[in-house]
Amino acid sequence: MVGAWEAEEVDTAQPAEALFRLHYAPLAGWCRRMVSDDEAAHDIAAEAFTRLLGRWTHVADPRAYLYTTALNLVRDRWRRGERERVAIRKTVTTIATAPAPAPEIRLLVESLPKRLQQVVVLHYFADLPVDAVARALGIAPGTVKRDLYDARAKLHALLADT
Amino acid sequence: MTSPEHDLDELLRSVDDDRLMPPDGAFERIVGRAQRRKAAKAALAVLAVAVVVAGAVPAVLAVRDTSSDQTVAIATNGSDSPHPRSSTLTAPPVTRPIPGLVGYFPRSVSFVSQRDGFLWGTVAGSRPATTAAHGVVAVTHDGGATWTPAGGPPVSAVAEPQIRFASPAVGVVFGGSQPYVTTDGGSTWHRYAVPGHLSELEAMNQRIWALVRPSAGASVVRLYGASVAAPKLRRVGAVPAMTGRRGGTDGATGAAAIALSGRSVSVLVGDDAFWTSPNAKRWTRGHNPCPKTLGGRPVVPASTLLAAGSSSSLVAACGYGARNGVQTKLVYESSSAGKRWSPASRPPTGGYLETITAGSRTIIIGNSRGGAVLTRNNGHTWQPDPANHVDLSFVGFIDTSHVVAVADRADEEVGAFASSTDGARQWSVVPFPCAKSCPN
Repeated sequence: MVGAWEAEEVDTAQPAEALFRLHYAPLAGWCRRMVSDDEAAHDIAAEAFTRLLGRWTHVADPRAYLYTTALNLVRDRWRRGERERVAIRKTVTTIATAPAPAPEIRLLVESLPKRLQQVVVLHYFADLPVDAVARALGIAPGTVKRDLYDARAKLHALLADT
Repeated sequence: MTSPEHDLDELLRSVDDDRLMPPDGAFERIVGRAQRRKAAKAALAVLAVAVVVAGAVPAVLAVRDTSSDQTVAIATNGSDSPHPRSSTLTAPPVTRPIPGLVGYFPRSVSFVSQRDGFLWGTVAGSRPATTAAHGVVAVTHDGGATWTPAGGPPVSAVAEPQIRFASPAVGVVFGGSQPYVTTDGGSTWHRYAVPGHLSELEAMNQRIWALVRPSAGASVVRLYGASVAAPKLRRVGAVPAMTGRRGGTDGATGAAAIALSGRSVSVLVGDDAFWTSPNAKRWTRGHNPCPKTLGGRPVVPASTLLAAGSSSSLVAACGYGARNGVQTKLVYESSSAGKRWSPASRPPTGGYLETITAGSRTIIIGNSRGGAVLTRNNGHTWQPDPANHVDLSFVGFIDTSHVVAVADRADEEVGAFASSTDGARQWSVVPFPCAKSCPN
């Protein structure tokens, strides 16, 4: 009977933990770019993962969900007046593997309208292809392409001014 | 040579190199926080249902999550039953820890008869369930009055595993990356070979049924069956490949659904296919009631759930969209084994469809956010919060009167098994307390 059930060695790897290992560090790194604060970046990344696990069976694209949630949390911080904070707090519990975060990315993203922020974050930072961004946002791929074009035009103009 | 466009691209892509490593124990803390939040939500969810035919055939049902040892009143709208219009959920006087099940937190339940049942859950101290905390199977042979621990398959609670038993000996735990099977009543577990990605599995009356995709991201869904005597899953050739919702996760979201009652089997996949058989031999294609357009706009259901009140009485729920805790839900009933469907009134939009169960004129829909809703008049009117803030989850009918569920107390995080013998009006609960307080 055992043979019929194919007894094998136990593999304890679970999708959620694998997802965490794969995406936490880049997500937290992106958050740090957005809020210029290691501790806040950890808080936001952890909150995004917490919400993801709470909806684990309902989320079609976990990576898109993580970055969209993180973006909303980042916006909350911006709205709370955190945007002026540029000092970086080095927390003893974190391991900073990158150089001091540059504010340019944050300022560029912050300068975009909310609709364009989403496509930029999902396409460039979550590294999702256009079709995946479209599915995540429930819009047509052509709309994503147009939004990316508009976003790039705005960002290019902004870069040219600085 | 670089251009402004190149500079912009380089700047945007530069974030890829910026990584912030997680602090030690971050994953475990996140899982713990997610589970505490979930426990705090009054989420009653129904997973699967089976009705005893003529009160004699053992039925299997599966349930996840649990609730309280409080007394509750269950209000009813016009009922099909002579039972009183309110009832109570009472805890037994014994609250001592059960050896091996101290602080046990059941997540899923499966009964093969009114007396023989199984729970899958985690024990205190192993919550949040990590890869090191595989959970424990608990067994009862007296209808849930007493429970004893058995072995447990190596799956964590993160993926919300579900347990199904086809007989007192043979059962499956699935929902993680790999399903596991036991042939000795839960004492030992082995990997269960599945020819692809398991979307849904139900078991009953010595039979196991599974909806399987060739791979996790595939839209093709095929029906497989197995028996306790011949446990290897085999393709049901009479049912052609169906088309399910591409991508996403399966399981309780109902991307594909199986409903069992007696010897009848019905499957519903996305908005594409519905197949049913009264005896698991002759299969006929029925009508999938989930509409493909709403308000003139093409739509695809995010969730499709199916429950059987009897071999010919079916209930299907179709969920559209899932945003900000709100989802449009349509419920359909059939008294012709899926040949014809009639729309029921729409249940409240709060929460996302997760599970459904049906008895005689009674339908309970569990939502992952927003609690549960119940109707006792075949969907004419819906009653929110049917258990009056008691967090019953994943309840299901064993027969027309016996209902079992798992529950948890959000305030104390104590898990419990709950059962009813009068169609979900009066409940009794067996809690699994810790010696003092349960560790997180």
